[in-house]
Amino acid sequence: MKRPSPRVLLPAALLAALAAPSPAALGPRYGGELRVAVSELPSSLAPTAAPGAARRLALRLVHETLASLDPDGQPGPGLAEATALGASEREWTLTLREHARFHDGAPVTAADVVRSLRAFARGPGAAAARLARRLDGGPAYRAEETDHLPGVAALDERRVVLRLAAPLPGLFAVLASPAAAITGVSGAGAGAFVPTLLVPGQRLAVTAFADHVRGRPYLDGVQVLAFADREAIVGEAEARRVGLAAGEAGFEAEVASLLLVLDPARPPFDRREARAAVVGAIDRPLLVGRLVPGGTPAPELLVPSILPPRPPAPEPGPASAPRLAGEVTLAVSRDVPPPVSQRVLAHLQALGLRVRTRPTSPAVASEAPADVRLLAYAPEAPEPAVAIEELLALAPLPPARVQAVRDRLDAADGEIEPERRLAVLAEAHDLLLEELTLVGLGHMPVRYGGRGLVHGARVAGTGALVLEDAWVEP
Amino acid sequence: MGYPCPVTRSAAASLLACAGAVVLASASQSPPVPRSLVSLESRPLSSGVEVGAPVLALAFLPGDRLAVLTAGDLRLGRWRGGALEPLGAWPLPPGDPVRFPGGVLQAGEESVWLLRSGLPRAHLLAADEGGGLLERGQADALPWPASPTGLRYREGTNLLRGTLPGLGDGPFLAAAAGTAGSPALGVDPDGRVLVASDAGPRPAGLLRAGPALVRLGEGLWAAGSAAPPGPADTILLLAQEGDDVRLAGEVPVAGAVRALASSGVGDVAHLVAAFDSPTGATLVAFEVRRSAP
Repeated sequence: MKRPSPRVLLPAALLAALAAPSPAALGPRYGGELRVAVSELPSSLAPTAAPGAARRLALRLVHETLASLDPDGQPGPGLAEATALGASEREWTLTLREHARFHDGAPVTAADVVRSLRAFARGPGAAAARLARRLDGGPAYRAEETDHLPGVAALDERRVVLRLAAPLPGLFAVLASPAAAITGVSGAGAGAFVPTLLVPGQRLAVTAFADHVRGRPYLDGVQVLAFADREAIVGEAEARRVGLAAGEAGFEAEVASLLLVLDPARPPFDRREARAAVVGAIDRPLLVGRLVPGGTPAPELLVPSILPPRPPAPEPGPASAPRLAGEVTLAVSRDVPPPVSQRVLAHLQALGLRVRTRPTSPAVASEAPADVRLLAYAPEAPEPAVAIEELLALAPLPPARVQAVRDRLDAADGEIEPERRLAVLAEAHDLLLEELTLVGLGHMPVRYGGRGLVHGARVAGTGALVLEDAWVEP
Repeated sequence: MGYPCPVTRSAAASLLACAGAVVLASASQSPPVPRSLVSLESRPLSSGVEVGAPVLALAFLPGDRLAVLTAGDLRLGRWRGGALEPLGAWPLPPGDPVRFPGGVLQAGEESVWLLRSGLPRAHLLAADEGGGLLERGQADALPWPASPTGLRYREGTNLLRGTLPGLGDGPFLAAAAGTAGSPALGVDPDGRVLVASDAGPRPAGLLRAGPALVRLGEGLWAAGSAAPPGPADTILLLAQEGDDVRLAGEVPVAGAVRALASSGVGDVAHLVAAFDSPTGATLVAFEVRRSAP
């Protein structure tokens, strides 16, 4: 793999700035408030790896990480403005921006970074697991066998050193995970907006943070409003009570994969033939190609921007599908388009199954107790190894299969050449598919749209709506 | 020497393709704004000078010298024959990050005050005999004619605040000082053009503009448009009619207008516009004059 050179963050940011389209004469415009309609909101703003586009939007508003990722997934500066790789190529020194501050006015110090990364390294999520596995002393620290973590240390007030026991490709994507946000002693964030009101699960109000590391955002404030159903969100957009609504056309990126997760510990999916019957019954061109606006039918579990597709492995055809019997529960994440879940339900019923459907919050859908789970999955960090770790946790696999995937992940980390690394990661991906417990249906955009007077927003590779550069026409 | 030729909205893709232009007062905004009875002619004097960085403000100094403010420095050059001959530059001190900074230049005989959002103070620079720029002083706010407070930037934005005679306390996207024969103009954060009066700011009808505004002469101004996003923009030519200010002409340009400067010679104004380009900004000069009725 080609390793990022020292101070790699700044040139990447400059290139991104040069590539930015020319804005209008009046814009970007400072001022104004934006209201956003989503399907759910978290009960807390503490950094977390929990999935769900709306949850990630909320965290992205309030928190800042050491590194950022541009729309192409390239690393850029966050709270750290420069990085340097030591002679051993295992030691990264991150220098914090001189004027970086938290919302409570306290300066962001190396001690804050060390405390936040120590918490991150013991927290849930694939990015945290991946960092801890590679940090010097990380595995024992994550397993809570010791509190000593030599892999993260403050050199002085503004510099932090990360010492790795083994190479970690995609380190900056890991550090850009929402769960790796840096917080102050009081829990204050350093994101572009300061939270002023959180009604858990219902409403979040934030106001512009003048001291944000990339400058005050254009908007004076943002209100994120949660609505129980899709019709209500559409109604808010049509009535122009919100500027952006989840699921509407406007700002979008194909970052989500529609996945079926079949639990092999529960009958009838404890039999491979039953799982094969479901795979064979899935009509991807109909499910995703016709029922999902902008959707792409595909068996791959990851979108092409994360892991380029390879020739698909042969799947069981519909002709081999046997009749199934019994009752199963289908947990459906609320961010799955309703026509898709209805069609999946029909597919399962056509196989002879009685299906009880259970709508589920995206935050917990991946862990919902059910025979079948239908998810719109976007990775915690848009990096293939992190995503494969997440998928590995998603589907129960035999220990030998898990070990085989982990072996491929380790092998990929040792690859210097990017193409070869991706090829090894593709092997790990294919191993995930072979048990037929994870079924890729296709890829779909995460989208936010409205009345067209909003500019500068974008959807990140995690599915989060990014509003720090958004502005509204008067 | 160029020859005037008509410019219509449909042929407005690039002024640079046209050797010269008569600018017609046209209703191009929606809803339509009142037209001025004043007729203005303009023609380009240069084919475009690349600056290499986004331009925040422009100002003419005597001797056809042009001050160009970017986010990182103030450059001084002599505008001659459609080209900018560099004379000197002064690097700005580091400031706080601003996503879209604004800048103001207020030129005197041999000096220029500068203010840039993100910098805590205004700086006074003087041009030495060789054309170099030397700092002569600093102030908490940029001095502004008849303003008791001067101008400052609202923290982290391109919005100006300060008490301007007849215009109030702002905030403003742009302002042009008044004279004995012309009222002061301002642009509010929503792009509304404001006319100074003893009773306070009055909207200039439905006129809207962007953050570039300059006085061309008595009762005449130029402003960047408040156009929606796009690769092209329009310079609005505004004229005073009684107590009102109306649209007197439009000049299409091939990028978002960011800064304007003018120097007047009798009834003829020389206007330089900086508009966004892929490499930073392009400067183009125009001659603007009242045409015979």
